[in-house]
Amino acid sequence: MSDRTIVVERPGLQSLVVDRGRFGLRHQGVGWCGAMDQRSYAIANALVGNPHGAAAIEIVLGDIVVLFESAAHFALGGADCAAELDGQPVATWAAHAARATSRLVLRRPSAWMRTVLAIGGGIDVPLVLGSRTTDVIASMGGFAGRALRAGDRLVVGTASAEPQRAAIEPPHVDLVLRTMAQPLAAHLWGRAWTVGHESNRMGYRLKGNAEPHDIGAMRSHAVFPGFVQLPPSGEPIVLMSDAQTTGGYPLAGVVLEEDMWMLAQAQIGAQVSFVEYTP
Amino acid sequence: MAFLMQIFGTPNFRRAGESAIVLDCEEYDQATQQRLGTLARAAQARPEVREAVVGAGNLTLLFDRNVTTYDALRDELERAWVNARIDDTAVRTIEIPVLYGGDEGFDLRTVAQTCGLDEGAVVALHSDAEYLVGFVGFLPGFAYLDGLDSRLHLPRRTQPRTRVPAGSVAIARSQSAVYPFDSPGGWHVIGRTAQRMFDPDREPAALLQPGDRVRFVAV
Repeated sequence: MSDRTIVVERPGLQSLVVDRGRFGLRHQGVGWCGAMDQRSYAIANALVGNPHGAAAIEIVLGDIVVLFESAAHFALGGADCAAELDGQPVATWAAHAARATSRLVLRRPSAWMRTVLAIGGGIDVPLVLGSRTTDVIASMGGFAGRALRAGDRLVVGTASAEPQRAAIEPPHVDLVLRTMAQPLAAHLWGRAWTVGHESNRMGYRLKGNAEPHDIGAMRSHAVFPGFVQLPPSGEPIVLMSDAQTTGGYPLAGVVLEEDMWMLAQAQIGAQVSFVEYTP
Repeated sequence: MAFLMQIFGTPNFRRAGESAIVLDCEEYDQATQQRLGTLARAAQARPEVREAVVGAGNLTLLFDRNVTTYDALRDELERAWVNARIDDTAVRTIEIPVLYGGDEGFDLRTVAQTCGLDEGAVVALHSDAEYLVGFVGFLPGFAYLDGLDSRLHLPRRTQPRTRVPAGSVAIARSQSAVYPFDSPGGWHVIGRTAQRMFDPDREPAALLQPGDRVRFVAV
């Protein structure tokens, strides 16, 4: 184990150790979890030279302070939190060098929801059922199976490659989600939806001019992130990274896996729509 | 073969998004769940299958589109459905020790009153029955158990509890279950077990798998 460490001085709203996810165990009721914004996660890891799948920290709405106790490269992807390293601005979507004793401060972002902090060598937490990601429902994986708290000291692995020198262009978020139709798809198309307050890592609850339906619960069936459930209210629930493995609501659609990172970046109150995708 | 098709009916197939295929059966019974469990275990061993999840009378495979197609999987599932051999002697029966009533089974008294039984009768009915694991969902290791005596069928609580303790043995409608973790829950809690329902250090981590039989034993 490496002796390189960082300390969380201010944890923010919900900061989690994440990776791609915990796969192949949904038949045992184990959700994927993993980074909500898989795109920013992949980019931030690539910027610091990490292999895809290295564990990073996903931060909700910034407001976090991290102290480097060892020199390391790091990169930020996702929401721009006007980050500063020892008082100097550092750009999102680029790799930077931190010294031992460097302090990284993220503020609350004005747009987007989540920021991924990747560190060269990755966050070194034990693999649990094949993944380092936090499952907050089962309290397993990540750092002690929970969101980070002030004072947590995390071990950083040994970097295997050099960081990239060039910054990259930020990806563009377009909240028109490409969606494959399921039986109740007519309830989705052509309506403007708003991300509701009860949205979280399990599901995004959308509000809007919904058309209720009287189709009762179906027999329980497998559900996955990206599935759009339609409760009787007609207001869709888009299942996210931490989604449960089975559900009984009728389905209205399945959002393309490639588009899910954009929904993960939608703040409460953001406007979302669905457009039919046919392969 | 025609004989088997007649017994089990012909399943329907449908797509769920770009990379999922759902096999839907008319029936939701023990034979169907055992057959679906057999298919799911065979599918899980294949590299092109990312997930294989049994539901109530259905099976969903999430597959890798770079390696296989919906049509290819449908043909294979159709054949596997007909040819599956269910070895009844291989079915596991798992005993779960339960401390009924008291502080652990805080709803036992209410359940007894609502069902018009005394507490001892509720315990007897619950522990005399043999249950079948229909499927696993909701939480890691949360198994939906069919076979609850009809005299104990109750709707879920109108107000779900914000926290049901790990190990709680509960009933709702026609099913029983054990909560693997502290979690919110709307089922009626009649006892508690010390048995760990989900343990990431165990293989498999979930104690109960679709098709297993379960007995509750009062301690």
